Amino acid sequence: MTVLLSLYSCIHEEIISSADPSSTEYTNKSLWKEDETYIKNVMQVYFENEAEIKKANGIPFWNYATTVETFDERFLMVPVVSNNKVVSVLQVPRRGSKIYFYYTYYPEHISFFQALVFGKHKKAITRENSTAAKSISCTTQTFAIWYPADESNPDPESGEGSWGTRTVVVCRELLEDCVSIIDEFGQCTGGGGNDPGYQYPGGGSDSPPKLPPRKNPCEKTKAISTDPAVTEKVGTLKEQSKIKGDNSGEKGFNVNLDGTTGGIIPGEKHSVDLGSEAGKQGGYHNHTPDGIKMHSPPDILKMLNYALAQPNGNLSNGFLGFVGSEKCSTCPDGYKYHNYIIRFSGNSQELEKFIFHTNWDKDALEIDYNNKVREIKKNPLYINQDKKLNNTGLQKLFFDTLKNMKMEEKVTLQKIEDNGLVQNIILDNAGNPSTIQCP
Amino acid sequence: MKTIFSKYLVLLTLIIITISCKSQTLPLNTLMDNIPQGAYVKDLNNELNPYVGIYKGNYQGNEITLFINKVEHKFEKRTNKDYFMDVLDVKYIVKNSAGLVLQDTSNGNFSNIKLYSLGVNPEDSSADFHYSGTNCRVGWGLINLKKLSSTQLSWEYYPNNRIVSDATCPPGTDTTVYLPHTKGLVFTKQ
Repeated sequence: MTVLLSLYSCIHEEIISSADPSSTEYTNKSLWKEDETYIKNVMQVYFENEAEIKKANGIPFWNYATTVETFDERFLMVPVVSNNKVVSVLQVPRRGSKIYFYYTYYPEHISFFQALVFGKHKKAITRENSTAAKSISCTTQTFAIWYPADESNPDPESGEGSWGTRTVVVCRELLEDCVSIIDEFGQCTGGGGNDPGYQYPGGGSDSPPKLPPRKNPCEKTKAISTDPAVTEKVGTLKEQSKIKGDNSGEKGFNVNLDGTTGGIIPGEKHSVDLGSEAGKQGGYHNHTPDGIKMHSPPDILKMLNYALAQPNGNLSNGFLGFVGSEKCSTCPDGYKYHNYIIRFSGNSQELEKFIFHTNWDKDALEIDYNNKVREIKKNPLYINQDKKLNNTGLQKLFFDTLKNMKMEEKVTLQKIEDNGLVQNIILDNAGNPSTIQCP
Repeated sequence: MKTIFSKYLVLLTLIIITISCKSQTLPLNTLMDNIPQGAYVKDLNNELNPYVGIYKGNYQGNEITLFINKVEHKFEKRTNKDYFMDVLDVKYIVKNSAGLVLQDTSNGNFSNIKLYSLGVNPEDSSADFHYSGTNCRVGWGLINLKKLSSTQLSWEYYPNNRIVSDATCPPGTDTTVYLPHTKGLVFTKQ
């Protein structure tokens, strides 16, 4: 793919508008051409229903709203500012004749608007993709912001410093997949109840594009487990998980937002660096022969970051998988495989709590996990002939770990069989791990 | 009369405080869920004592020295509660065949690296240890030390896996695990 970057010639040097930001008048202060019709219509609805819509502190700075390269009166995002800080981003999608307001708190979005509204020297960057066809239609806004080395001379024309970039990505299909049943946290409610939408004054009677129905966790994981590229790389990890001795070690790979897979990432003997979660659906790694064949507390925390990286609040699209193996004399190729995926099933407020507002003591989490392993191993129901944890023991370990992290029912555990079939693992009424076969 | 009453009141208060502050004492291997906040998990039967000592073993040209000490009333900070426990605390020195020190946790330079007992297994005369892993907690897992005799221990190490990132583990950090990743390695008491 050839990516051409061209810089707009003008450099914006004004800070925020001196005009009253709460004004009902609109003047485009973003760095791009915007869908002004949609912005003005949304503003009209907002001001008519402000008391009802407003669910967070701060004032929407409408002059900095961006429709992110869309011009069909379908979407905008606007920074909400309090005490000279962007505290949230109000996203307003339209579906048919209704528009929906919801406040979001994604750090990358907040950082984008903080620089856009308060950055002194900034310039737009247009990004043109030579290949327009993509499985998911995503639009991007990027701009450069000047970081002066010396605050006494912040002018990029004469002073020292460097340009940094800020980007925001909106993926349309994912968004439209959910907007009709979205709540104020950006989560799909699953339908039912009162439609929280507001009538769009611009009409908008056009029906939205026909979209596939929203996928449930079984379908999401089946899409991964049956993908040939994923299957091939999981196969590599399965082989890696068998290797003992000096060549033993960890490997991994990521699955991108558009469903493509990244290359196999070689790791060290006991670790692998899967890189940033940005732009990724999820990641996979292998557990080594002596490692516990279950997701651990650090795995769970990594998965939360994949959930956070999902566009438009589709948190449960994020996942983390692992593959482990153990020798098995009755198994077809002499090995039994453990292939599990975890997804976050809570809402965005809960995700924020777990990522940003919980001071995890990682040492304590891992001591508790090791302690739980030795406790469970003492129960004959949970071990096999080799005195290793059996499937039920491993799954009990996972659910006990979730309980310890106060994440009960906030994480979905799925087992992928060698034939690609997916099972949801849940706790039954007696608190024991139980398997539900996906259709 | 008033002074005597005040003295009795102070004494009574002290007695109540003393009684209420006396933590519950529990035996080793008490299930974590059954340990209340502030309790003391005590080595009531002196099951930890036979492991105490300095032990040496060799693996792939490296010499490993284990310094096993019993620490009483160690403060245990866990995810949802804090309590106290008698433990075997292990410091170690790993030297290569040339005598060069590869890692030494006995000199206080590696306070982030923890290796201490979680409990004992009377059925096979062994003890399980939590190993925090080396830098960036790489190699964290369980270690089992089994008493073969009054002077010999058998070592088994089960390292877990970890996804790292530049944010959690800055590039260039030494994440080599120097402890022997093996089973059945014999250590001899010095």
